[in-house]
Amino acid sequence: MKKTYLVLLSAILALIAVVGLTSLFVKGDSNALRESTAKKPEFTLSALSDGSYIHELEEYYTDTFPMRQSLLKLSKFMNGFYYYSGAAEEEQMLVIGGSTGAEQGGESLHNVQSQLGIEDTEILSPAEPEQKLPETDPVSEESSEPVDEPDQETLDPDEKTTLEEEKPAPAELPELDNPADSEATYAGNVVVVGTRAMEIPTASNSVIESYAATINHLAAALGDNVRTISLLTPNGGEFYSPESMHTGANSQKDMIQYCYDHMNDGIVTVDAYSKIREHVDEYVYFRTDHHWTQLGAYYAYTTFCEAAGFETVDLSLFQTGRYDRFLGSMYTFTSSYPQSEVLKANPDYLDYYIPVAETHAKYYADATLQNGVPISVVYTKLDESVGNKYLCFIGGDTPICIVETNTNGPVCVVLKESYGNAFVPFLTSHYSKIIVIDPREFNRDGKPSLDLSSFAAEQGVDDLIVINYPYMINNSYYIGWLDRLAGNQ
Amino acid sequence: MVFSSLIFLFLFLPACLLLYLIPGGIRYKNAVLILFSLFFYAWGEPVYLFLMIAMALVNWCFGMLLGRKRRQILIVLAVVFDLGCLAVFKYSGFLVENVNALFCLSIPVPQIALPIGISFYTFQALTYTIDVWRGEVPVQRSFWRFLLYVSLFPQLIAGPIVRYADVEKQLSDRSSTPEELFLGMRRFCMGLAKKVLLADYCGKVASQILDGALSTSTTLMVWLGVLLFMFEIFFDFSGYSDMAIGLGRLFGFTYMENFDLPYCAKSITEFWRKWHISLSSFFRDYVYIPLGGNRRHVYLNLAVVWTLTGLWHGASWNFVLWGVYFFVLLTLERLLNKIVTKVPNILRHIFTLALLLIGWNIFYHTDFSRLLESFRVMSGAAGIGFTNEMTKITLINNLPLIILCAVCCTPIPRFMDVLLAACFAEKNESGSRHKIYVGLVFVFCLILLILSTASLVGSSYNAFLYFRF
Repeated sequence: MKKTYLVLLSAILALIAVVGLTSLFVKGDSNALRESTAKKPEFTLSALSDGSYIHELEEYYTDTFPMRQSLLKLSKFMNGFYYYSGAAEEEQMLVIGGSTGAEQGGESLHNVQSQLGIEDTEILSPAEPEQKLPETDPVSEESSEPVDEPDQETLDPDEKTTLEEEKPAPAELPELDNPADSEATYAGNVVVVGTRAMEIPTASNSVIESYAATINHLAAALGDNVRTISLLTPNGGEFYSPESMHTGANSQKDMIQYCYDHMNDGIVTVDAYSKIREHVDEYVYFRTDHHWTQLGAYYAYTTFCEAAGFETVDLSLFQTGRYDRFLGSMYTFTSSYPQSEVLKANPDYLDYYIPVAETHAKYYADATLQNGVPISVVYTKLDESVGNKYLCFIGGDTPICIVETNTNGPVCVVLKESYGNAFVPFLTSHYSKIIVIDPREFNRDGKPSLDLSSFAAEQGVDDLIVINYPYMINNSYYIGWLDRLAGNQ
Repeated sequence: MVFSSLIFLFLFLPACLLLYLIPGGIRYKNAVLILFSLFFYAWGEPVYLFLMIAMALVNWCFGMLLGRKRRQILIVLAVVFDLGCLAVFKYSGFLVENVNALFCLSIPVPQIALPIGISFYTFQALTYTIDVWRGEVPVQRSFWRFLLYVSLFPQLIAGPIVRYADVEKQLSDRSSTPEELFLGMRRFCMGLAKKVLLADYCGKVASQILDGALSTSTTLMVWLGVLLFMFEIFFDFSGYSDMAIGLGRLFGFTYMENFDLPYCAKSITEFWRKWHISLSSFFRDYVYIPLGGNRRHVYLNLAVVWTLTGLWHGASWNFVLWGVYFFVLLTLERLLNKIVTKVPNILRHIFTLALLLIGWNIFYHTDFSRLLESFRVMSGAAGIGFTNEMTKITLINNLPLIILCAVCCTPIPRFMDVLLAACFAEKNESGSRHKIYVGLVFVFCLILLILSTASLVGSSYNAFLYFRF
């Protein structure tokens, strides 16, 4: 018997030792995107003493563990037990608490393309006829320069002086955030119901009130000469989830109304809800992504035009195109659960509408507007390897994106998270210049600072448009960053 | 480093075991264990490694001095030093915050990160110096052996609290039979599975529910969250103890059992005889009995012990409240003993579990406003009703996990093991039928190891709760 024990012990010891040795010399079969992000941490004494080196090393080890993909498959299989649906496949349901973390920041097409090692062929190639990009559009060497390190040396001396004079030098980095409201990160749940996955926000009235107050602050900060327009849109959960998930504390209609009720009278509010509600039998929301489709955004745009006094451009006037097979954020978020298989088997498609007006656009890393990187308002030739097709709108989430059009119209600033991305292309028919700002990218965590009122004054802004969906109006982190744009710390 | 990490399982452990099992004398084996233990601690706490070594050195010196002359001043100094270190590194922030609040001061709150495992190795060092002073154990003249006792990685960061008296002889002379090694490996795999395959999954859902917006939650949802936390803390902590006991066995050390099916208890008194046994027995032998035990002012002694037990679990008032809660329950059980024993066992069991759930809810919420809100929702005074669709789906999603956890809290797994062993029993333990039983156990352990590895790869959620104590 002694021999049996020794043989078994030796076997298990040999097994873990062989796996251990393999892990040191053979890199795991992680996917391309993951592999590029799994970088061996650099050793420094400070990183060792503050624990970050060890933490990153452990992450790196896990990301490159032998047979990683097979083990992930096994883990997903196990989740079938841990997250049991309890019903036939077509009725399966899953609840995952917590948020997707969208309030923390978005994804830009540029970053995704860099990680995948593909070039922005759509922009670097001659201007696309659909976009009517002017040939003079400066697609120069500067576009290939890193956007996060503005090269002061290349600036025009006059421009440099002006910028330095007009814009106060950033004294020091903004302090790190330590938001006290622990409910902020768990403002709802993600549910999979049948072939659709949705975010279900939960109302927190005090937080919604603070969102409304923030819009009031922004309007006050920009002064009477700037019109403030608030557009709150529901997400798909409002229309396609079981009744109890969009009633009571989960009613997005009530959240939006409650929020509008707390805004000052001077603020123009857009009733996107009612219009979208009329079209819920159409393809207005993705099933595997948390966004609306551009068609959904179009219906919101029609109400926007009514509220803002513009003439709606008929849908039939837009040239359209389609990306087939789009698996969005909700699929990614649920991909380690077997319930996501049905999403994978039923992917979305994405229809885009190309602006009627001539446009050219660039995005910038900060408000100094240096080293802009040209982008397309609607990308029509995304590489197949870019899984997130929603990035085709204004190049995804970037800190500041400026779209100039040949429309003879006013200038607007759009404050938005990614819900605004599909909406912005429609504004090109009415504004000569659209400055799209992502509040998540400013005044926090060492990110650049931005004082919206002085920036808007510099740019001669006429309209301030704030577009958000209910997850954000219930999220105190996001609201905090929005508020800081108004100069409130 | 934690046991449930891939680096521990596939690099640290095989390297340590291979070097340890190479034939060599006890000095060689101790040296291997000390080096690996220091590396193990330094992995997560490179700076505090020196604190741990310094604490071991000071306690060893006190032991040597007490060995020459058992003077009371020496033991007082030793206890003050150990508890002083604990107070500085664990409670100073809490203390200053409360002094500031009480006297309206604004003394800067020290930002000291809690050294991992300090609550465990401080108490272990105390058992040595106090027992030397009491004359119950001989003085350890070798600093290296004493350092091995304090720093031994199996029990270093999350217990059990191993008393010096229990391992004194094994520090200089120990051996393991192949069967003991096999049982050690088996115990380790079981503990790993408890932690990775049960506790972590429960914890994920529990925190999602209990950290969420309570005011818009349902009564059933919050009870479900607390139930999952109740499972999490048991499987997390007992899993860690199992791994420690199993590893100890692999290296020839025998540690005391730390858990004995605590959720099968029929009273709170019984629960505390089965839960974290090494801690409750420490408080019994080193605080309760010296204070007078059952002989004089029993209730005052109980109040002191339970307040300290609460405080030991964390520098926050909710832990103190948690300790006081158990003091009240234990006092009531003592006073109402005659009535309680007449209640049918099944009712006593259900009642005990309900009281424990309430206790774990106090334990979970370090923020008092959230604690209050959770009780309001649990009682139906707040929230959005008893249940809703979301609660129903969450319950169904987690039903298999809840059932598995509930079964694993009972003697059923033990019974099945006994049954399996009985099926293959024969007079001669070396017989082929017994080998089948051992082979089945081996395969089961292997499956648990593979599933745990897959789960670790698939999830980055992996923090031992008992780190903060």
